[in-house]
Amino acid sequence: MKTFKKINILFAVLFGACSFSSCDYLDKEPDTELNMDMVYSNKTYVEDALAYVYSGLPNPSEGWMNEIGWEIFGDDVTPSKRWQQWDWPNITKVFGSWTPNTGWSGDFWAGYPRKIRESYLFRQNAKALPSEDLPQSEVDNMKNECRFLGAYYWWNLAKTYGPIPFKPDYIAPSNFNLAELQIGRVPFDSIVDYCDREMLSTSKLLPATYTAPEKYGRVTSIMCLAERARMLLFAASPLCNGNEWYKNYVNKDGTHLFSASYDQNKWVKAADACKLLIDQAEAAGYKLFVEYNNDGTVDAFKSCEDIFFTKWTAGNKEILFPYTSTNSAYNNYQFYTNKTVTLEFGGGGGLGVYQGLVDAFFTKNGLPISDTNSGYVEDGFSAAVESRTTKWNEGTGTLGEITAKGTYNMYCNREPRFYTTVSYNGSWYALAQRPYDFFKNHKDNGYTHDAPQNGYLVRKKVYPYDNPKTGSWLSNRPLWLYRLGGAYLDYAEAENEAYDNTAARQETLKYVNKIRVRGGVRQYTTDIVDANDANYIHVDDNQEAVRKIVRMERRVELCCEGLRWDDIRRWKDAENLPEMTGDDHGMNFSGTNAAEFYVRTAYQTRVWKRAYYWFPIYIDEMEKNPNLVQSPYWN
Amino acid sequence: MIVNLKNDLINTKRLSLNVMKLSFLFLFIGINLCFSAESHSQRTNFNFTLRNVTVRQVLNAVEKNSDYVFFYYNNVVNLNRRVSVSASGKNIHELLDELFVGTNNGYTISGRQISIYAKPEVAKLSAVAPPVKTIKIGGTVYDETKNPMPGVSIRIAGKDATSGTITDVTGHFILNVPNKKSIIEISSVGYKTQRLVVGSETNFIIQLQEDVAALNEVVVTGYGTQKKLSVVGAIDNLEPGHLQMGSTRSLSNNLAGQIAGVIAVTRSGEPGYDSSNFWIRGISTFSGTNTPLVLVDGIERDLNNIDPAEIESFSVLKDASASAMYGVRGANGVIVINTKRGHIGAPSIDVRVEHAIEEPTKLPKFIGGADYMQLLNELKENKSQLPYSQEQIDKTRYHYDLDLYPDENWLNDITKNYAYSTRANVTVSGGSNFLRYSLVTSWFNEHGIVETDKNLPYDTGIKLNRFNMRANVDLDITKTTTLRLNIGGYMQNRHGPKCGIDDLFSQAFTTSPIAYPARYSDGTIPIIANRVNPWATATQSGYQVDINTQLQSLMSIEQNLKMVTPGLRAKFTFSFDSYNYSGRYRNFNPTYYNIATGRDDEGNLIKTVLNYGSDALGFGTSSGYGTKDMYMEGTLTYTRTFGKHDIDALVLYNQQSYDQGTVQPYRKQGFAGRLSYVYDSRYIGEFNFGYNGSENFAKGHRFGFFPSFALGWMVSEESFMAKMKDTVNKLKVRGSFGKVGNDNIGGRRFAYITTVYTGQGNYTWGDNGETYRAGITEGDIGVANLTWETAWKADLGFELGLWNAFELQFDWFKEKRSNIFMQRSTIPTQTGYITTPWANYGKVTNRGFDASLNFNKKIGKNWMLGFRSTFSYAKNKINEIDEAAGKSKYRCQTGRSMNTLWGLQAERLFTKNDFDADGNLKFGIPNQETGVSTGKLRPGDIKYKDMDGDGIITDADEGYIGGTVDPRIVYGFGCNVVFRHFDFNVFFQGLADTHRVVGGSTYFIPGSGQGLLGNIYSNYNDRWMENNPSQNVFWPRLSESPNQQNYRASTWWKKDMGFLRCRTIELGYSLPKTLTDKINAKNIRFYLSGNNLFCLSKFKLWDPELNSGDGLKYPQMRSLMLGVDVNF
Repeated sequence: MKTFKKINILFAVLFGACSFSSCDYLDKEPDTELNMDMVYSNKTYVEDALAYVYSGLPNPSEGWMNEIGWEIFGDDVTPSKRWQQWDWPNITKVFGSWTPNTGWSGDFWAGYPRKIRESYLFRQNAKALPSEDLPQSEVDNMKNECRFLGAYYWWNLAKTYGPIPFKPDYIAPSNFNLAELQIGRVPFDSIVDYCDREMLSTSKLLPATYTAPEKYGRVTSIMCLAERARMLLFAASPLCNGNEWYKNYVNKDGTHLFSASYDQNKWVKAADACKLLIDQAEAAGYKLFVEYNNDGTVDAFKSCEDIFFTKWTAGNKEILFPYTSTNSAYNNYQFYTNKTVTLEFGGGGGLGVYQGLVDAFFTKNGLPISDTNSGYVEDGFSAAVESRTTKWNEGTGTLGEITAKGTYNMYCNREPRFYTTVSYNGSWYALAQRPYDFFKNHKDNGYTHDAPQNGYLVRKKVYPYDNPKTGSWLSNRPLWLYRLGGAYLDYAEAENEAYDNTAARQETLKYVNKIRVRGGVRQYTTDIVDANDANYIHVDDNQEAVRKIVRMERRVELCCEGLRWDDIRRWKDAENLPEMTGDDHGMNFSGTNAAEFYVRTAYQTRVWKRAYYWFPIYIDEMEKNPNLVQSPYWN
Repeated sequence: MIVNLKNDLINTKRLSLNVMKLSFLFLFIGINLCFSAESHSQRTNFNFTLRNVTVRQVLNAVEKNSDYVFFYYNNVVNLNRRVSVSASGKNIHELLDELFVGTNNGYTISGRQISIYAKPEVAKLSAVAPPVKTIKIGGTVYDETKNPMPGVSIRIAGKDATSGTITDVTGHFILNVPNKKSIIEISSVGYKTQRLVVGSETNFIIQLQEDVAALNEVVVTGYGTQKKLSVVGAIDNLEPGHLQMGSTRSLSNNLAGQIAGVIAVTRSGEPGYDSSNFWIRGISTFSGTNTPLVLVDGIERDLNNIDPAEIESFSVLKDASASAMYGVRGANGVIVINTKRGHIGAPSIDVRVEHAIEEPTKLPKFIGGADYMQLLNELKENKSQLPYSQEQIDKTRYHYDLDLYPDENWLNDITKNYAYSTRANVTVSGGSNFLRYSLVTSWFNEHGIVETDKNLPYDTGIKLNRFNMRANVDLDITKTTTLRLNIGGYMQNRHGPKCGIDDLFSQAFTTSPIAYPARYSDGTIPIIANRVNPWATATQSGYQVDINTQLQSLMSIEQNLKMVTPGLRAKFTFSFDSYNYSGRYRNFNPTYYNIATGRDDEGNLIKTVLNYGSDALGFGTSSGYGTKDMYMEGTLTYTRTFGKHDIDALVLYNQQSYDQGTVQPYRKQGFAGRLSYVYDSRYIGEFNFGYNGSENFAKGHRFGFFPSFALGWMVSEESFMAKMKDTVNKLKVRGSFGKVGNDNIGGRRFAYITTVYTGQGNYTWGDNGETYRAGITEGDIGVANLTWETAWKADLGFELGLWNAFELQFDWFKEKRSNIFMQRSTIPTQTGYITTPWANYGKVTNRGFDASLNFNKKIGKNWMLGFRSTFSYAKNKINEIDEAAGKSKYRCQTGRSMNTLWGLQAERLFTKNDFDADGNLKFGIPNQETGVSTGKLRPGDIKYKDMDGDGIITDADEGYIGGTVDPRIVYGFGCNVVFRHFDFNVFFQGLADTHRVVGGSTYFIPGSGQGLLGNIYSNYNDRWMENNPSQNVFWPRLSESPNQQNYRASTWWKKDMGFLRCRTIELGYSLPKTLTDKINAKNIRFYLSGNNLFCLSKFKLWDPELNSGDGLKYPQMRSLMLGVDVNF
């Protein structure tokens, strides 16, 4: 019976153990897991939260090229079509394989509202933490940064989708009423107006530069003004300003989403905004990046190449809106470079430029190739080496030599920006220390999809010695979303459109010429000058003529920088560009010798639909929101 | 209390001892059970005086003042006789002698027990007749587990009850019998009655056998066992032997078709990853998990890593009555597995060894390089730019120089023709009267079919070894206390190439046959930068070793509380499991060469190195992973029969803490109970409940009560059925209804707490990246009133047994889920939530039936025939899901099954007549704006139906096209025949109502990979061609580049994936007893079996069960197995 007793005691203990189980057994342990209140009580976490808002900034290298795709939707760079099968789904869109439900990895629709919400939450909750070295002034600055970013993201949505559902300064609660969240599109201009106010306001509250080096990249007044100026330029442009295409584009309640009538004042606003930006930027020390020859002349080759490899602290003060996220070398430059370096060095060797871009570059004397005075010759080969005054040695590998003897004439005697932008057959391949050889089955053309499909590779922004095979990269390089050169050309365009008078045209030419001087080509003047004048080219003193030269200048100066897509959209120009709408040409990829190769040959056919001006909305989003109408022409 | 033994009903189960005062404190919130026992001491002398009291009162007083207990038959003692007793200073003998003086009562004292009897008549007659000499015998009665049995009736055959006696609490009895020829009958309810001739024996040791026929079979149910008779829930038991089938590792692969109500599919054959998906009665929720709760010895454990040899019983609890006790865990059904336990007896040893040779059931077939090029040339529209010259094609076709004109079948390159597997078990079990044990060890070894490079000094092939061990020991600490200890576990060691296997198969499809050879004839390996060489991926990537170990332990102590009241038992269980994963890899980078450009004058290949490799293997470890699981359970059961009334009751408390290295352990806590009542083996009623909680929800929304009721009628036990008993040996009708919950809510924990996401959206500031910030944002928004998902389940079933040979079981069921825990999906993305809020939203109905039909008959002396079959059908329907109001009906899930296939409705292929002279679609035919990327629509392209009637085919015309990948029907049937020493087994298994949209990738359609990607299936000529404008083809018009018009998901690509598979055919031979006796074996059986021998399906390109839209996955294996089973 003793055993009995023992066992009874044992049971008492065991069942007693069960009664440890109080009701609170299922409570979450009172641990110190992070919650939002704690986030706003710690300086590093506060900065983490701020970083999340900043992370919405688009990556201007791989992002614009691949995920977002602005670069390839335009007509500057042309990736090998068959890359669509690997890691570049946006390519199919340019061939017409694009429906509302076609995936888009840029996905602003879902991405930006989150960044905007968090920017509002940050502004609502961040507070000074004196004990953590986070004074009120710094918090205020951060909140203003968030305020600008919120507006900038709204604008990015509007620029992509048109008149978006728009409910600014609203944080949806968790106990929401679904109907309140079903917001319809609002008129494009009202979004622009809101963003205009926000950006202008924040520009007055933020510094133009930061002295602390670790703060470089935080929002400045200049960024605010730059994005505002670009936005107003876009909003004044033909696509959005009285575009008859959209006169019947209305909300379900009948609201017109684009103003049906043209408003000249929009150009005035844009011009003023551009001027305000330029004035303030220059006052704050921003200026064009220029390198000089020993004789004091502008070295256009070096200027136009090194601008992409010179950081702010190394003297590149042209950067208005830097992109400072450095965490992914792949995104920042390796992806892009990989696509331009040939297979021999471990790259994909198939990211070319359109023949249209090749043709857009001026000749050495600053004239378009169509100009009878340009001296442009397409066929035949150069009889001699051409040299110019420059410290640039990537023409033939020899300092100052631009083209070698025997270069196809199409590529001879062109402006410096052509040579820093395009690798053509016979141009110098610095990495291999030899000229490119694009003939079929030669070194740089294995006649596969990893080869220059139309006989060109892009050279702009590619550091000539980056070697994917050995993993040798120039990592010390800047990235930006906008630079002063673009602002000058924005201003030039807006000024010319805003005021149809000589004074405005003089102002326009003044800023275009600043770019041309740096680009190493003759300046424009409305004065009558000799066709062979050493410094000036005559342009007629009328709005149309000036518009033409402004647009030509933008094309070559800002090519391959993710801006062309916006330009051809806002000019309603895509359907007028043969290369956007049909056969694309280049040199004959199948050519095994010069005679076969140097023939303008169609290598692909693009499809353009008017719907493509604005991105479509996924169908399930349409279904969720009864107040939403599809983007124009997508139905 | 005095024990009344009414008439001849020997019922000691009401026995209770007042000497042991047991007090229970049983609280629902936290069980607190406490025993306090007053030890009895034998006092020899009494000290009381009673005047004018009844005999009953005297006996009470004796019991009250001593440890003695009285046993007697009611009609033997006149309890109401009035007496006066002065017991002061008297011992028990003096007292009783005085009490019974002058009566015919006598008594015997045995230990604490006093039996009162009527003095035999002979005693009375002794005055007139010579005294009859009697023999005094004694003995002890034990039950099967060597527990002494009190209250067992011992009587002399042919005499009335008063002639006998009953055993005392220690199982002893003493009886006077007339002579040596007397026969004593030893009987107790639930046990087989024994008859013994007294003979010269005077001290009997008797062991009673449980009467199985009377008790019926016992089946394993939730938290215990029940008599099969009294089971009214839908519970199926699978004979564990049926699980010893096939040559694969995972137990779950043997479920399909074997158990009515279990739907199972094996989606891959890759060693280590070949476990089946299985559901009990289909899928009932679109959120969280659908997999059943699997309990091994009562603990939540993985089904797949138990060796079948370890299993003693396998039960599937399908309806609410069976699973309500599991409360918030039981909604998806429960599988209860108990491992083998020992039984009294000499050690029994079973050794089973089997070895199998395997090959893939079916791999896709591709065409060779020459045909490949020929087709691409044919598809090229610009005939002046043909991609391949005739010379190249011819040189490829005739294998002129395989280095320069490669012609690879990559699928062959990466696979071996055969693989092997071996399984061996040793089971030892036995026991003595206080210790029983069962020891199982098993080894499973499996090789994979991935190719290896014999030139390498190490092996990269897939090899999987698993060792399982289990020791289950039952120890009787006292006669009423049993201690159980289970220790089990496994170690699984998987060795394989350092590459993803599915990825490898996919590479074999995407790499074109003409890209390059697997390796050049000089041994070097070609590759194109950024591309893959599948053979090199398989063989040259090094190897990795993954080790999974698990320790499973369980300790329980069970106390029979018959001293409190018979039939009461208490049990306490504690268990901990721990699981660990560790892995290491040895990666290898070979030297890769660029493609050779030709041969030099000496015939050597001209090629350059792309990447210099190294002969050395790299080393690294995979991040380890471990879990631990602690479980505690307290149970009180009460089982007793009162005449025609059977009562079975259970209450239970349990709690569990499962730590898998997340922020804190997952915890569960709850109570459960069962009350089952059977009247006269005919009418059965049962009530079950679970009351348990989930940590995932806020206080107040945490605990739920889950009741269920079940009723059953054993029609065949009715008297009016008695005449038909030989025909209808069993007819049972039963039904159940109840509520179950599901707190497995898929990822989101602590739904009431708002979370923070860290490390999302980083950014860096500073021109040189001075300030990196990882990014923080709001995460899941906490919602206070969220709670678990609720399931109401109803089941109606009947069981019919005919001629003692056929057994038919049929169950109809219906289940309604509501409050499904899900993320809202109608919130416009524009709202900006980082994650959309969670809610209890959504309703699903699932209904169907399952049935099984079994037949077993012994024919003559030599033949045994058996047939078994199951059929399961389950179809679910979404009644409510968070769906946008703006959706057209054909795009709505509401009213459809979960995971219904999606796509466009393909009407037919376009014909020439659909186009005008310019090649444009004729007026009236909806324009197909589905993203044709090259050229225009042509005859032979797929024509889609304009679902929304807007005259144009857009993405908005996509909708649900019916059918699900998960099968709605699973069935199985087989038979076994035994003839003398031979046995023959065959089993078929099939799925039906299962579909899949195949393809979907841009290069699935022949030629669309443009020679860069994709192989071409061998049925490529089954296509639309201008000279074969047939609608009845597999492939639509082929084109030279991806044609989204044709490759997108639609009914064109929706294929019926139903099949009937010959799962196993087995032939066995058992050695004759004359032979086995020579080596002291009980049985030796050899068997040869074939598994997955063939498969009948409408779909021909690959194994239809594979989870793949292109067939490129590690397939299931067909195997031929030889085994031997020896029993000592």
